[in-house]
Amino acid sequence: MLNLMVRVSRYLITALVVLYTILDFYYFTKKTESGKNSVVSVQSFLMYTLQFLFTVILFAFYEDITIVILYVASLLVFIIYQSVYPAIYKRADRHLLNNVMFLVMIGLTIQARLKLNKATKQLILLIVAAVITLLVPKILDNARKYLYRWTWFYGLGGLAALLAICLFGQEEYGANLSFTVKGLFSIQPSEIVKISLVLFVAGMFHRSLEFKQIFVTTAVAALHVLVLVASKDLGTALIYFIAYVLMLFVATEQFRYVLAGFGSGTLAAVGAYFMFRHIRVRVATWLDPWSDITNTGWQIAQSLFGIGTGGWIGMGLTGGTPGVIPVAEKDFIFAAVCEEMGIITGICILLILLGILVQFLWISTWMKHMFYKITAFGLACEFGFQILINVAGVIKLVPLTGVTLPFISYGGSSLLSSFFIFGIFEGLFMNKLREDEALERERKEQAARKSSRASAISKAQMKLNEW
Amino acid sequence: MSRRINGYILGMVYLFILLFIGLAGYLCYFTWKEAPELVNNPYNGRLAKLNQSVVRGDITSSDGTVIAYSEVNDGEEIRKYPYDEAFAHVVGYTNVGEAGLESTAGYYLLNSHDSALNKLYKEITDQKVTGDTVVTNLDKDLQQLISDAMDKYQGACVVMEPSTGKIRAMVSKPDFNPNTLETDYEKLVSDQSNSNLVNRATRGLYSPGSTFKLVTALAFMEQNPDDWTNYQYKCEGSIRLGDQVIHCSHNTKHGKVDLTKSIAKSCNSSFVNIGVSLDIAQFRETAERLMFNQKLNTGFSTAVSKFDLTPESSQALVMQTSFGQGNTLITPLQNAMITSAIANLGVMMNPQLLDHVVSADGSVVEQYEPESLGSVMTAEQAMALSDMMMETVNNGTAKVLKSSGYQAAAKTGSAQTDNEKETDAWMVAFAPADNPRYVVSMVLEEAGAGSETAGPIIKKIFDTLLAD
Repeated sequence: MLNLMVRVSRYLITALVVLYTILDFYYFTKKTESGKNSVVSVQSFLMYTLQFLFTVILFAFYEDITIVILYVASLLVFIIYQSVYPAIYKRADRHLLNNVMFLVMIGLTIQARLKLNKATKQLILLIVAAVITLLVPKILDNARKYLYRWTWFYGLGGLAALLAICLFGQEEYGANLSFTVKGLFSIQPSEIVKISLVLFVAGMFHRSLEFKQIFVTTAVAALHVLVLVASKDLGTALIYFIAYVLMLFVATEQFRYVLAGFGSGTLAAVGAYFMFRHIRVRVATWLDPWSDITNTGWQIAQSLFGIGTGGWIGMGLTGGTPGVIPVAEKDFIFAAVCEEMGIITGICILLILLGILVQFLWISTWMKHMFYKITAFGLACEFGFQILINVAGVIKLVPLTGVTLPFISYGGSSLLSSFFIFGIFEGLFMNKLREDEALERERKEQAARKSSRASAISKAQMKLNEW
Repeated sequence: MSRRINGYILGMVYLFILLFIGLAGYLCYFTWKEAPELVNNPYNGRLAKLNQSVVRGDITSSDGTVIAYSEVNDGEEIRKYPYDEAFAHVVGYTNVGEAGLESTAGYYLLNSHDSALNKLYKEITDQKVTGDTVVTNLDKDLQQLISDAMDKYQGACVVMEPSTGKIRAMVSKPDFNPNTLETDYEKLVSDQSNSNLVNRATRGLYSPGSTFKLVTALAFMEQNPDDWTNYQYKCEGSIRLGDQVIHCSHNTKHGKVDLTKSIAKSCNSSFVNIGVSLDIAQFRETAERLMFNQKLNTGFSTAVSKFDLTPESSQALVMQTSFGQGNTLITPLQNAMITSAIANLGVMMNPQLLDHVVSADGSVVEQYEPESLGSVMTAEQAMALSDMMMETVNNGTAKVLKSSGYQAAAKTGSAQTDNEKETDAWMVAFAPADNPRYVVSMVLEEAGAGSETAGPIIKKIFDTLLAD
């Protein structure tokens, strides 16, 4: 019975996800507020249907009441968040909010399928992240005149956090990534420093674009990257690096900086390849995982087996064995999703993430203030390349570097940073709407003043004529 | 300024769209093209899971006769092999581990490309869906004939179409009955001396004996492009260089020989004489072009044939290697490939066991096209070698293949493996010589001379295949 349900559900799940994705892009063709709202409502309906479907299968599989508790709790979180957010921020972009919820729901489902207790922890982390970042747009609004002044706080604070982890952090999968607080939860600072670095760079470039300023900024950014390389957190280092070079280019409009940046980056990569054994091992594993399949090649081989065996519509939720992929719930979540929900769902998730990314970049084009423009652009680039590096690694298109998939991977720091970025863009989006509205109001008042003055003049004219 | 920056940001939007679409495109390509082969791996435990919802598909011979199928009794699936031992190694088994096509074609056998509607119907009614049918290039009558003819020997035989690389028969002896493998398994595995489970045709590494002289001859032709036809040697029945003496078979004095006669009479002394004149680096290059020391990419498990001469090798080893002894090792499949290249004007084709994969509703899922591995010798060199092999049949060591119905071309060999033991008997052959349709490569362990043991079987094969 369970088998039957798992197998038949694959078609339904694929259809619902595809429909959701189509609507996601159909939304952009809608011009009116009510039209947009109706699309978003249908999307919400699809998401809740999917979640229900997933829960039924998972419950039949585990026969554990925890699944039901998890379902009710996460359903409440989703519903509350989706009503509280627009209630606090009446200008909030509900479409963006919806997509974030959808991705989080997929992530929670796969985590529940992999390890039930991880899903419970993830749900708690989700609540923490969601509540904390609820304030981000508010802060962005109230402190918008001060945020770009705390430049050195971002720069040195971030660097200090990375250094601390490099020196005192725990090793996990061959890299120093996190602090554990009393064995309860661990913090991975590089996820949060991702944001502070962008704020630092934007603040510096906002102040001045003189050579000396650029030099100092580059030096601090390079230190960030180097400390990460020393901690063996290569994926994040790469993301920082790419984002910095792109921000530098957009701020200065000097193409030679891009060439110089990527040139020295390539040199550094080649140098690192010959200097560090663990990098050579990664590259060798990427080129040929099969000759050492039981050891270094195991992870990527199992990932490819999972994706390949799952095929277009997957093996069905609980129908595969994604648990054999080491760290399936974090870096390899995309493989786990593809194995059980299928490549089509995997591609839809990529498209939804692309939609979010394009929206982020769009928001950055609206920004007039240099600090916010560079901030938005930098965060969007980090977000985009993180997805690319993660997915390309999982399918053996590039060597593995160990970064998470935003909103979907397990991990509090990843979730918190993703929600932070989401909050920042929601805030920028609303600030812009607020400005537009203020402008509109001013224009109207001006027009009104003008017309009242005109009418006064014409009245005077008329009186004059009477004379 | 801001407008220009927005232009750059827009550029970034396009770049991201391009990268994401590229990534999604690669995922599709991977699923469509790479995954089917890749997931057939003993370390992929998911295939067994697939079997819970799919009835393993059929394997058929080229004319569609089923040679492996699954019988379902009360949900219990039993794999049946109607031809018992005849296809044992090439089709393989799936009940005690996996081997042969049952392993390498596992992805298709365990995946159903039936119409979505059929599949959905079966899934809703809780029936297992039917896996795809794998159609091989194997000729069931030919396979049976060779399997019977080789029954009293240990060894292997490969029959291949030189122009396409299609494998029409592949036999390895001793064999096993896949229908009773589960009960026989313990006994077979504990019997170290026979190793019945090994497919000798693809994994057996044999000393090539005199069949290797074709390779030495090719190297000689390549290194003396203008005057190899003038080659002359006076055979005295043996040759001594340094303290190494090589004898011709039965110490026969072949007298004055050219290259053709050296092949036809299989003159060891002449080939030692040729071998020591060769540039060894170039000799090695020739051998490696013929896929020695190279991993084959056939989609099924093969051993790597070995040629280990280097410019540093001793003269004794060069002498040994030149006439087919030394450390050279070859699989019967590899010898079939080299002979095929000679028969196919120098173009080597990749051996193909599978013709196509068809779903339960009759649509073709995958069609395998002939795949060239490139030209490994010139057409002239191929024709010259072909003529020499014809001479071997007409006036040389392979007279057993003489027929009024067709002209065959061949090279015999008897490889010494152990002074105490009888030699391994080799023969590689093709026919008809002017328009080669079939290549046969056969080795019979400790069976003496190729012409006496392998010859009559190959004669029977050609007689049957070319009867019409």
